[in-house]
Amino acid sequence: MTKQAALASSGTARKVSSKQLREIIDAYSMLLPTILGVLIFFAIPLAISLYLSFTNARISTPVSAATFVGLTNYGNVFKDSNFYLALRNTLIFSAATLVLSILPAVVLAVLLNEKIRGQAFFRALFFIPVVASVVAISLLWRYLLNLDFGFVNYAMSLVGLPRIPWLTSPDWALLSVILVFSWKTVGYNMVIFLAGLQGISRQLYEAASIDGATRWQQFTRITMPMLSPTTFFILITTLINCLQIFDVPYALGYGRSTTIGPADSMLTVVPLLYREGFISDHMGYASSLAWVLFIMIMGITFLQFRISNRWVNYE
Amino acid sequence: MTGQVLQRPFERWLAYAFLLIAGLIMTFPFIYMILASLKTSSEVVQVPPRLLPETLQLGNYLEVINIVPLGTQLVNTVIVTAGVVLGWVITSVLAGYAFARLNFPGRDLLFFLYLGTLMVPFAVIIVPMFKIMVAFGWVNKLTALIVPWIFTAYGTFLLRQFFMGIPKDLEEAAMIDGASRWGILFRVVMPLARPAMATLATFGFLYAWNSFLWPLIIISDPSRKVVSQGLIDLQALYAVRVDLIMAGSVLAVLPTLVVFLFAQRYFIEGVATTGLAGR
Repeated sequence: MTKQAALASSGTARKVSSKQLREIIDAYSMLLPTILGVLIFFAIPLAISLYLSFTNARISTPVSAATFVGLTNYGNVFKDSNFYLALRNTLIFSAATLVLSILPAVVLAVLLNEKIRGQAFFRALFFIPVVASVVAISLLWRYLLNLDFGFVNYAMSLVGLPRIPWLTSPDWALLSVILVFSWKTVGYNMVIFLAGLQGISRQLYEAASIDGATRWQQFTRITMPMLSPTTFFILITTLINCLQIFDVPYALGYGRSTTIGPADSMLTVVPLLYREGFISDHMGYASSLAWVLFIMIMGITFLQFRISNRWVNYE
Repeated sequence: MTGQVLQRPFERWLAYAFLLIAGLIMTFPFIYMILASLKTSSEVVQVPPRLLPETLQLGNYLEVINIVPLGTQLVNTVIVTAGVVLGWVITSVLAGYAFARLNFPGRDLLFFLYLGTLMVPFAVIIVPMFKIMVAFGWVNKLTALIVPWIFTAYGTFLLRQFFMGIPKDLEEAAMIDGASRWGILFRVVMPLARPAMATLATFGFLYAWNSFLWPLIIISDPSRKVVSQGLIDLQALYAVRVDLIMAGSVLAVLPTLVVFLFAQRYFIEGVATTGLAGR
């Protein structure tokens, strides 16, 4: 309490009344669990993580026993062919997922926003994959995409298409990760788009149709610009999530060996980090990988904000 | 329901057809999963596949609960999820209220610092978090899956926004009657915040139920694992028993579907209004 009182008096020059003091004490007692939690489980780990990235830390040795190795780990990241493979896979995955989880979401949201029966029903239907366990649906898709007995290849054979080695060929494996993740995410994006659409005033469309605008013109001149803040939000959050993807490639791609997908074709940055840190026991190296990823995410997000004022339309 | 109106019946039918096909793509895999979980191990890999099982193999569920042990792991997941959800709601209500209504030095700075934590990927703190769990002796304990994860900047933000929207008059009236800040929070504000708390709880539920990377690192004892890990073990050990893998997957998905069915409004409103998932 004395510490809080001291904080209060240093923060405000004027004399603190007992009522104000009471409020400060209440506030800090309400925040106490959060402050302690963030310190122990976030702030301190963050600092240790930065430190470890300059050491040769191991699983079994305590943090204090790690030897300082300078920038070696960071140098190794950029010499590691696995890192470039993971980076390439992560970027391809992210770019493709942006398209495949956002475009269908816009179309579905626009359709649902019409005066259509069963809007709530369809909305709930599309949301089911969002709430389902990621590992469970990944295993489900492992079954559906199986080369020999999977339903997808069977359905394709019915319309005369060839069988595809979705999960067993390095050429197709990453596409499978993209399809499964997009399938899971599209309903989530759709709900956000639908909320954005419902915020657009109906009068805009009425005025436009009186002026003789076609449906397509209404979409490109009203819907698209009015929806751009929503689109921007979804782009930012989807990309941040994609760059950190772990569970779908891991659950779809792990097998008897430690590779993620055939010839590591599903390996993205976070699974690589997990493998380096917790299987190969290179914790220092894993920490430096994490910081490279962090800086990359910050950089890409910053870039998106810089570009956004060219196309995002705030009222 | 704003937006353009589909006047021509042809357009209307086209829209329905498209929505139905999309709905089928989203839900058919789940139906196929349930049907597969009720087939024999040879039926499930039969080519060409038959949709319906010859006879219902309900025994698959019993078998899967015993071999992995998925039953224990489901109980673990329920305990972890309940703990995380409860923790999320308690810490977020307290911190959210302090940030929304109380005047204290450092308020805005603390709030923005807390929001800033959302920018940092989980992968960055994963190695030191493991070291801290070792130091605490929490490796292979469910505590490690609960306690570190009950603090959420997202939830605090959500409830702060909600509390700021409640008229101050109510609190002032209670204050004049001599109620303390804590009394006001518990008796006046929290009853009003039920919808926001429900939204937060649904996100906490999804977050905890589906967590995977962290349990993978911290739990190796099969009787302490959560259901996501159990499924991975099932796939690793019994890859040929697709019937069992599907039964296990149904067990992992079913609780979330039931919760979604009952709390649908909170899920969808939560996503729509905040546009953020609890990650």
